[in-house]
Amino acid sequence: MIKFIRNRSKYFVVFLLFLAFLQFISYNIKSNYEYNSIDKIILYLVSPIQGFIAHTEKKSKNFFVTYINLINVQKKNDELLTELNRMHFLVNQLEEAKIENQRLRKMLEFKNESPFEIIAAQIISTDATSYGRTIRVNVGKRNRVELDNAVISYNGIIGKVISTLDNYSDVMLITDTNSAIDVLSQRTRARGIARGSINEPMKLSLDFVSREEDIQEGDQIVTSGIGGIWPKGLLVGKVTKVEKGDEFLFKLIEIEPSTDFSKLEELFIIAKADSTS
Amino acid sequence: MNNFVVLIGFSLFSLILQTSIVPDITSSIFGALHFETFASIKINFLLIIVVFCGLQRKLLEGVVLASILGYFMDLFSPGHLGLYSFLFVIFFLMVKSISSKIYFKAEFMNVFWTFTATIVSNFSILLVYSTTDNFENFYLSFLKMLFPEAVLNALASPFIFKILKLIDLLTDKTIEDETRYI
Repeated sequence: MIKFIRNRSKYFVVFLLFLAFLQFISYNIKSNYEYNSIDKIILYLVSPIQGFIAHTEKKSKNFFVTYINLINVQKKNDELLTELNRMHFLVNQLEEAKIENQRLRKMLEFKNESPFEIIAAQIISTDATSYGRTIRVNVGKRNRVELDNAVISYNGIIGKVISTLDNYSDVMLITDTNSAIDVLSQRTRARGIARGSINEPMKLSLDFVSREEDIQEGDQIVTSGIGGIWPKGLLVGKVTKVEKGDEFLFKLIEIEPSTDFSKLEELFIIAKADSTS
Repeated sequence: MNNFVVLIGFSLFSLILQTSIVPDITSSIFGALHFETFASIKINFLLIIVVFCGLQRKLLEGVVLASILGYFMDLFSPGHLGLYSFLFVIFFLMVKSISSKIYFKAEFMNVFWTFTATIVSNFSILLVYSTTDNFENFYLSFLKMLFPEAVLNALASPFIFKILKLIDLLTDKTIEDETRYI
């Protein structure tokens, strides 16, 4: 028996892993992205490092930009380099401080003016794959973040919380292929579903809009409030392409999100969205 | 055992870089070259490590390593079904079984294996997406996502392989089959 198993060990290992894989899928489906104990231990160990790296990266980015900019100057005049380097570094630091100041002021104004109860958060890491569009932020259950909380910025909606730990949460962006939001055209109130696409990481498709509906390029798209996650009237994006598509029942519409996800740093999580919507 | 633990630690560190600094650097480079379309492409360090294991690890050790690395990937890509735990083991077995039949003593083969594994990996992922998600044009995905990521991974692979070989050297790791050293 042992010999039989040993001779076919490769197949047994694959079979066992296949069973484990099926178990893993069924567990994922049942638990709705809830982390188990092992997940939590690893995330507790790793997330602070991610936070530290994100913080260090932010602080050192300008230093490296300055350094790269000065390579050519170094060749021309060594004496000027030290001074120039120092000046550039200082100017960049001041510039960064100025931008940060403006950004924080904008955030504060937004937070004060917002009709929702919101929690400010910072991104600490992005998705590990090229296809997934999720981010991890530095607030969690301790900050009253809950599953399915809406995530917004001062430019519009960002996504929703799909899992939380005490101090960290995972947010699925609206550009993720698993994301679907019920939306309205602000001008004509035509309804549709805004979805993410693999091929266009910075675009959304607006599905299920009847060919008879009046939607034009430049129309603003806002959330409809249906579904209970995103409050009604939040800006989603702007229509950039409309094709009637004679062979289809629905129009083919492309939306450019109002938020530039590549430059996202701070965001806000709406606490208890169901009571505010 | 030492080597195993160090390799897991290195993989976790690589994953942290993969989800924080490295995407910023690659998107800045693509941005500077006016290839904004590819700005969301990420280097998959863990896949490169799995390829390395396929070339230089015994079956059981490699399968366990590949499963753990796949689990890490699933943990750091929370929006989707946990596929990597399974796929990484398949890629490990694929590289291991094919590499034992084809033998070229050249550094280039590391790049080749990484490139091929990325293509197969992303092809599998896209196949899954094509059945479940908002997925329309496979050819477009190949050009915009699959191929560029394979190129990036292939370019990064010699560097990662060197670090992994150094880890093997420092932890006195004996390799199962000397001829597999590329």
